[in-house]
Amino acid sequence: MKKITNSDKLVKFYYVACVVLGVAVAAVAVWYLQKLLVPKYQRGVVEGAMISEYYDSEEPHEVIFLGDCEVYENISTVALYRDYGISSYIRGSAQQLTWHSYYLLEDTLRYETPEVVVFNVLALKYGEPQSESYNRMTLDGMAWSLSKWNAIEASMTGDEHMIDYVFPILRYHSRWNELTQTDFDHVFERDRVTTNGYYMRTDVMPEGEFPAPTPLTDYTLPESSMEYLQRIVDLCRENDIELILIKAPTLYPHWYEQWDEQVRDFADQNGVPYINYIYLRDAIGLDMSTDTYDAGLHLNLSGAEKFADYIGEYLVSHYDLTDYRQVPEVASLWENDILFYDQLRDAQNAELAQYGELQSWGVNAIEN
Amino acid sequence: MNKKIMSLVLAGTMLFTLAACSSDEDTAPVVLSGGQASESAVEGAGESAPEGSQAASTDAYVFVYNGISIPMNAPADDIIAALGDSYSYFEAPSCAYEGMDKVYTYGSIEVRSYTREGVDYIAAVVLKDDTVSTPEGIRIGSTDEEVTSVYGTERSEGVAGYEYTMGDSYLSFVMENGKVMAITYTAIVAT
Repeated sequence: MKKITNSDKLVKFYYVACVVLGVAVAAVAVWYLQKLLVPKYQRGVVEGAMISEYYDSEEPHEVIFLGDCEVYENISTVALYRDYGISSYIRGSAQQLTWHSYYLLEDTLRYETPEVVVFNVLALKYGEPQSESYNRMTLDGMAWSLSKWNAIEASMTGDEHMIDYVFPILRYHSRWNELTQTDFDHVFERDRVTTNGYYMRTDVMPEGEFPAPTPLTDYTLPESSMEYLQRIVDLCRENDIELILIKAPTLYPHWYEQWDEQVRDFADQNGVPYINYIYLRDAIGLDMSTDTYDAGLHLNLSGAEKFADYIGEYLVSHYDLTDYRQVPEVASLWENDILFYDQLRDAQNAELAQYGELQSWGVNAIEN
Repeated sequence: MNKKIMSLVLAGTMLFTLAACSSDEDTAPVVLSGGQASESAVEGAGESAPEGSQAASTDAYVFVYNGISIPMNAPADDIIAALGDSYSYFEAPSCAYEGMDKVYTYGSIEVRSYTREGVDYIAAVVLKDDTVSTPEGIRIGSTDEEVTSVYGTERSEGVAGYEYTMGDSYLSFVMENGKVMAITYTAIVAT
């Protein structure tokens, strides 16, 4: 039997150390490459950065908005705070489908329990996953949990795989030749793109005329989206949260009267309020010659502040919400949000004054 | 020992290769399944339906307007050019600029297109009045019996009408009081 010498032990130690070091270096390299290669959504298309920003928000949120661009572009969270002391957050993203919203609500409940949840109903028209890119914008930013796993399962289109969400490098490795300076600048740190979920635009493009809606052979809202709406209702009920269903006041894509009736019936059956703000544009005070930045598809800052004012009045008159302006530790956090909001507004207005259009936000800022 | 170190080097190389290999499919977040049109409106139309087509050999519905064929899911630019300049135009970018929905309205029809990877494709044709008809002769005001007689009963029936599917497209008739009140050709654009 061969005697193990100190020299053999040293060789063995060296061998093991090399293997461990090699694995560690490879793991760090993969981790770094993944961080580098995933889209950062910092310029132009910023919607993919919205969902993850929620986890950085330190103040409590008594009102949570759920939905797509009809909430994150149309409701100023700062106006809600400034005018009513409402501390809110918009958990919204591009073409956020009903099951996305459901699982984002589940996710939110891991951190806090709001008093009120406001769900915008436009996405109910979609009964199936629509596109991988929208899925990514919503799901990649979610913190890992069973809710995220289930959200991915519910959302994947035909060509998507769970493994690509678990290891995004498998999905994005081919971006190596599309990388921009923005990718390198934001490997570890992302700039803020919203104020508590609100995406600001200060430019103005008056509302135009929309194409006449195409008649449909069947106006029944998809079973799958209505099931998830029911799950949202049930989840709110289980957690003693008041739910409000809304339809934002923007007119395109068209919201059919038949859909409206179904949502109204659903709301009545479940004892939740449903407010279609399309019918309240005058009451809100919207002037769509000045309150939209893209010909009526979404509201600009002016419109979003008016809409927030109107919703805020409803919220404080119907629910027992805290005036966080009177809570110093929360008010100080909101002051930071307001500072960001005001600086963003001023920066956009400066570009509008200089160029006549925004250069650093929206379509002009898209890099690839 | 050297073999192990070499293995690590190779693993690193593989990692780099993984990062470096390029695939257009991977860079395209949206994979389409557009159908190839059965006939072309103008030369070239229908020859380059969106990538990822699962039904490239199948037909799609084709509407004909003033002698111009408009197949669903066909590239739109040449068709729009052939239809002439007399139209009103509306466009709406999708959320996060993932595409652009365009609507061209010509008197009696409306042509809609969608954009994928910088190329516009025919998304839909809407017949707006009874001065135009499908190539098979059905127009707004045609009866239920006439629709069934021409297109048959192999269809999906909604609360307010019928949908006939052909390849990656469908043709819908909205019915009211036993008569056609709206006709729409629609491309099926897979996700």
